Parts: sequence; C-alpha cells; structure tokens
Amino acid sequence: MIVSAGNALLSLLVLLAVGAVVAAAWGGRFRAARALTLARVLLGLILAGCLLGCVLLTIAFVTDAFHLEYVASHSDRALPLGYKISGLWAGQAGSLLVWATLIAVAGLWLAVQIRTWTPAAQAGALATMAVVVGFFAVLMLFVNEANPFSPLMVTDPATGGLVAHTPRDGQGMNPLLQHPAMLAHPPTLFMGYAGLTVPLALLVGGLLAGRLDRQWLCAVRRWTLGSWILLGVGILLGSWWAYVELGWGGYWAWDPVENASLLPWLTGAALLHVIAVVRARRVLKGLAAGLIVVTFLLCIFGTYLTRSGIVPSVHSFGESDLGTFLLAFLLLVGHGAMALLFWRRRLLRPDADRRWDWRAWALAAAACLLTGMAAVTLLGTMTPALTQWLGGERAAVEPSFYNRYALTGLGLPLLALLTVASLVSYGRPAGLSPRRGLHLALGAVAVGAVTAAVLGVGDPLAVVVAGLATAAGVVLVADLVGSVLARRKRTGEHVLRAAMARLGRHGRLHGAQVAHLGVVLAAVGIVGSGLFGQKETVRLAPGGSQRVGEHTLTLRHVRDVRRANYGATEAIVHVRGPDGESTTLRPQQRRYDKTPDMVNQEVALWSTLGGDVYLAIAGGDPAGQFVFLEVYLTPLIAWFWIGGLLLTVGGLGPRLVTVLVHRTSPATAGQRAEAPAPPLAEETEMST
Amino acid sequence: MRVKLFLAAAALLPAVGLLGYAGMREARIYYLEVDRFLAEPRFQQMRVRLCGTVGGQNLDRVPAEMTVRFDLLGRQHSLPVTYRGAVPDLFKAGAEVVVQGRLGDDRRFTATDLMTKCASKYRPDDYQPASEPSS
Repeated sequence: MIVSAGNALLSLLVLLAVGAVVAAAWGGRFRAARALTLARVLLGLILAGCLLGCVLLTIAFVTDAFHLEYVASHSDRALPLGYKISGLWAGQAGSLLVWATLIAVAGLWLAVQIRTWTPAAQAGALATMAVVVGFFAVLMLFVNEANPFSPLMVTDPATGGLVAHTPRDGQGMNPLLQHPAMLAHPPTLFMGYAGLTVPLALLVGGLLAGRLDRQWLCAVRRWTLGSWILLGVGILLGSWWAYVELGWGGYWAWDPVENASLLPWLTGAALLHVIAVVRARRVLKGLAAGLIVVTFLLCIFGTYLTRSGIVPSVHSFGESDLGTFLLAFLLLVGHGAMALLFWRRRLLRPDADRRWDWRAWALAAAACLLTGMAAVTLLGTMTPALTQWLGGERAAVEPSFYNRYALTGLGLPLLALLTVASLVSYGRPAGLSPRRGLHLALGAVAVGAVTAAVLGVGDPLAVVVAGLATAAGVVLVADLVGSVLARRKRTGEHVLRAAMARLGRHGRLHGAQVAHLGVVLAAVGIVGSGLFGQKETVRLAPGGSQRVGEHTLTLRHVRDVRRANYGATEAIVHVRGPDGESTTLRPQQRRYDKTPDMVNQEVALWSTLGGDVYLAIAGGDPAGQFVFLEVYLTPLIAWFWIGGLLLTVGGLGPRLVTVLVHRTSPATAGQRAEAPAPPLAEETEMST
Repeated sequence: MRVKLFLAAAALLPAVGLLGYAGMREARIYYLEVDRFLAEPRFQQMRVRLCGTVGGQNLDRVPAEMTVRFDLLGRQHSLPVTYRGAVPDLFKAGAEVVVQGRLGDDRRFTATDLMTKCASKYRPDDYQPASEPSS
C-alpha cells in the first residue's frame, strides 16, 4: 500500500509542479492575478503532498514496513522510536524527500510574502521554486536509489527473476548515526540548502520584472542570512558529532562531504558582504547576482559530488545514476541563469550616483577572500576527478593543502581585514574616532602577540593570529560597549535599557559585530587546536600513571559493563591538569548485540576553555591487565564552538532583540508610531 | 575603474591558479585501487592511499599490540595490511576501507591511517539486493 501510495504521490508532485510553473508563467505573461493565485495554491498543494510523503515514510519506519528497501536498509525492530523517525533523513532517498519538503515550505512562504509584488516578479520567483521542487520529485520518481518508496526486490534463486521480499527484520541504522546530533544535523543543513533556493527565485523574479529595488534586495538579504545561519548551524552540529563520536580527536577532516556543505556556506558569506555593498552604494549588483546563482548551484553540486561517485569519500552514499540527473540540472540552471543575467545585464550596472568608500572596498575584499576560500576548497575537493580527467592517475590532496591555502593563505588576510574593517566601518558610531581606534588596535596587536610569545607560543603563525585576534576582538568589544555607554551618557538610561535600545535601533550593525567576534574566537579555536594539538598513545596498567603534555593520567581500573543492548569495556581514568584540578574520565569500547563483530568507541572528554583532554580506548589486554589509550590534547577548541555559537547569535540576535524591544518597551513603540513612516516601512522592520 | 578592476583580475587570476596548481601537486597523494597499486611498481615506493574491502580470512585483531592485520581485497588481487592504532567503529570483514601508508620490504602494506567508508546505508546480510553484483 505504502509503495503504490508513495509512488502515486511522487507522480502527483511532478504534475503539480508542472502546473505551478505553467500557471505562474501565464500569470506573469498576461498579468493575470488569478493565474498567480492558482500558482500559489498549487505550491500549497505541493507542500501538502511533500508533507504527506514524509508522514507516509515515517509511518513506514514506525510500523517496521521492511518491504520498502529504504526502511529495510535503515531501520530494525529494536531501534528506539526517535531514531526510527530520524530514519526519514538517515539515507539518500529520504533526505531528498526532506529536502524537497523544505523547498516547498520555503516556496509557499515566499509566495505569501511577495503576493503584492508585480506579476512578473511573482511569476519568476514562483516558477523557479516549482521547477526546483519538481526536479526533486522527478529524481525520486525516476531514479530507483533516490526513491524512498521503492519496494525491496531480491533475485529469486529458482527463476533468476526479481521478486518482492519482506525480510523478518531490517538491517538497522548505522550505529554512528545513532547520536543526538544526527537527529538535528541533516534537517538543519537541508533547511539551509532549501532556503538558499529562495534568493535564486527572487533573482529570477527580479530580473524578469526588470526591477532590482531596495525591497527586492531586502528580501534577498533576509532569506540569504536566515538560510546561511541554518547551514552554518548544520555544519557546526556535524563537526561536533564528528568530534565526539568518531574518536579521532578532530572535528573537520576536509573530506569531500564536509567540503560540499562548506562551499555554499563560504559563497553565502561572500554574498552577504556583497549585499551590504549593494545596499549602501548601489554597486556590485552583478557580483551579487552571480553569487546568488553560484551559491545555489553549489548546494546541488555538493550533492552531485558525493552521490555521483566522481570523488571518492569516506562518507559514501553509493554510486548511482542520480549523478547524471543532478549534472543535467546543474547545467540547465547554470546556463539558464547566465542567459537571464546576460539578457538583463543593464539592470546589473551600478547606479549613476554610485560611490565607493572604504567600507565598500573592505566588504568587497572580504567577499573576494571568502570566494577565494571556496575556490581553493573546490579545487582540493575536485582533485581526484581533475587528475583523472587530465589523463593522470587519480590523486587526492592532503589536508595540508587546505590548511595552507584556504586557512593560512586566505583566512589570515581575512582576519587582518576584519580588524581593519572594524575600524573603518564601526569606528564612528561608537564615538571612537578612527585615530583612537587605530591606536587601540595597534596596541592590542602588540599586547596579543607579546602575550602569546611570553606564554611560550613559538609558532610565528600563531603569534600573528593571537595579535590579530586580540586587536579585532578589542576593537569590536570596545565599539559595542562604547556605543552603549555613549547612549547611556546621552539619555541617562539604565545600562541594560540603553543596550537593548541600541541593539534594537542598530541591530544589523551590532549583529554583524557579534558575528565577527564569533569568527575571531573560532579562528583562535582553529589555530589553537590545529597547531598545538597533541596525540599520544599510552599503555597503562591499573594503578599506573603517565604524563601527557602537562596532564597526568592514572588508570584506576578496567571493568566490563553490561547494558540493555551492548556490552562494553570501560577504563576509569583519573586526569590531573597542570593547575592541580582533576576529573575522572570513562572511555568505553562497546560491542552492540546487533553488530557483535564491530567495536564502537565511546570517547570521554574533559572540556575546559583552555583545552580538551580527549580519551579513546585503542586496544588492550582482554583480561584487563592493561589498556592502550589514545590521548588527544586539543588546546582552545572550546573557542571554536563558542565562536560558532556567537556567529549564529549575531545573525539571529538582532531580529530577536528588535522583536523584544518593540514588544517590551512602550517608549520605543511609541516613538516608532509617531515617526513618519519611512518610504519602505517593511524594509526597516525586516532588515534590522 | 572597470578597466583597472579587469586588469587586476587578469593579473591575479593566473597567479592564483598557478599557486593553486603548485599546491595541488605538492600536497597530492595517489588514491588507488589495490590492483592498480600492485600492477605499477612506481607506486610501491610512495606513500599512497588505497581503497578496498576488508577480507575475512586473515583478519586478525591483536588488542594487546593495538594492531590489526588483514587482507585488503581488490577486484582480482589482495594485499596484506598491518595497521597499528585505534580501529574505526565500522571496521569489520567486508567493510570498505581506505588505508594510507606505504609498502614495506616484507611486501606488507603498513598503514598509518585507516578509515572506514561511512555508508549511511547498511548492506543487508540476509538478502541480495538486485542492483548489487553478487560477490
């Protein structure tokens, strides 16, 4: 039943998408409001269809419908309910359905949001959303490996033909995926990908309508920012999962699958910087349009990269002809977008009253560096395919390539630029004169670098980063605090009220500052853990001690642990830090009853702001006489997570503060109401 | 302004490209299948990355030495591998793995890194999927 219902639903989705495209095109061409309404309704129905598909698949998982190949290969009877539901996105076919659903959500949301725009603008945007979601429906319907509703077929030994088969139990979910981060990581990532379809849709609409005005730009900015943040959170969750679950002491391995999600994040960040230039100076519209297209294409390209098998990865979804479909779609969208941009190239020219200033240059330079980082990452990721296409032997690049070129070569100038840009663009509103700011920054560079050197940091790269990070941090915080204090002095308000008011009024500015502070902290975490991380394998007998770095490890004892669905060997290790503080860690090696021939690492972590102590059992004597422990000391890694969090808060925070300030402060609300409405009231509201 | 920008881009792009190419050559590591590796003596002198399947016959885990020995299976040939270190969770007979290291004098491949392919989809044991060639 589920097989036929699911496939019928997928066919219906394709038809609805075609209908929505036709209705939108009709509405745009003949300015027919009814046709546009029909397109909106059809988008609503597509969403309903996608949701129904998700519900069907969830029911299949919950009721152990192992006659579906997707369910049989991702679940089993004993799997906890939460993970059964997460089976929806644990594999390729299901994740495509989730992705399509999220695009449909974004499509309907957008349709409602822009319902007052000109028919041509609406038509372009709605048709684009329908085309993309329709493409996903076509993929699921026509590529067997991408269809979550395909029945499980086996070869009948008697006849040699294929017959439907329902196994007694499913194969279960990969134990590595049974982790809380995996409940949230894929959906968040897909939300980001789906959201990044919207700027493309808006671009097509804007170009068709012949108008790329402020309102349009605001909508693009809002959607890009929101999606980019979700993508970032998704990547962060994925890294955290890798760190705590995979047991190799790191959070990023520059694997193609990881890089695939990083690429649109980098170009999305570049796009946000270019949008700021376009907003303020009316230049670089072409670059913004190009980045919108590239960012969308990279979302699809990442999927192509990892599903087509052209680049080998340790995370493999298996090779299938999905790649051909994805490549065709990439080429179609890429060429279509280029043709459209060429046709409407006049719209992308700078306005007559264009003016560049230092801030615009700094933003444009940041966008170039971020795009460069994406290009380097793409080059490294594609090396196996490139070397093969060029007729040579297949070769990959080592992580050192990315570290040297993407992180050091481009990331370091980016950090330096951030420091300079903070002075150039933020200096004035806080009452911090550029000259004073410069003195402050130079002083901070010196203090940071000298402190690092005094603390025994020998690596010149780390000393430079310490100096730059201190300067960027000091300037950003000084400006943030300074502007609040300046307001307090002027109005006599309480500090907290002044801060809220300031954040409410200049949310975008301070949001960017908080986000940039996050980047600085993350850079400290990356450099600290990357350059000064230590790995040591120690052999410990019960009662024995060993020093690793400045920590002393003492093995108390080794014991066997038995739980409901696994048995484990647990080492109880006492760890004493350099300042006498101590803790007890309990790394485990588990054997799940379902997969007795596999050993699962359960790492134990002691996390402080100064660094982590990370323990994994690498082996040992079966009788418990000794164990081998892999000990990773990763200094400052906590700052990477804190930085990532701040980056998110900086992006989302201003909007929350605006809402809070307007709800809670009658004075501000009153002021707003009395003030004459600005020409683009919606924009002022939405963009802060 | 536009001309200047174009000139700057024209000057920078080849330089960046060249730098990237040089970096790529320097940091590259051959990524081969077992058969290809064994057929070509020049690879046997280098540090390489090999992919293949873990053979079940000579799979020997020695926790007391923190070592695992196994045959890495290619399409036709196999290569004995020794790896010392923490074994990733998904390692077992039949698992697809990637090893990095070099061939020793004793014709055993000494791996410094062992990665298992993290397939989100489990290969079923009690049925033979139609799309898979039987092995």
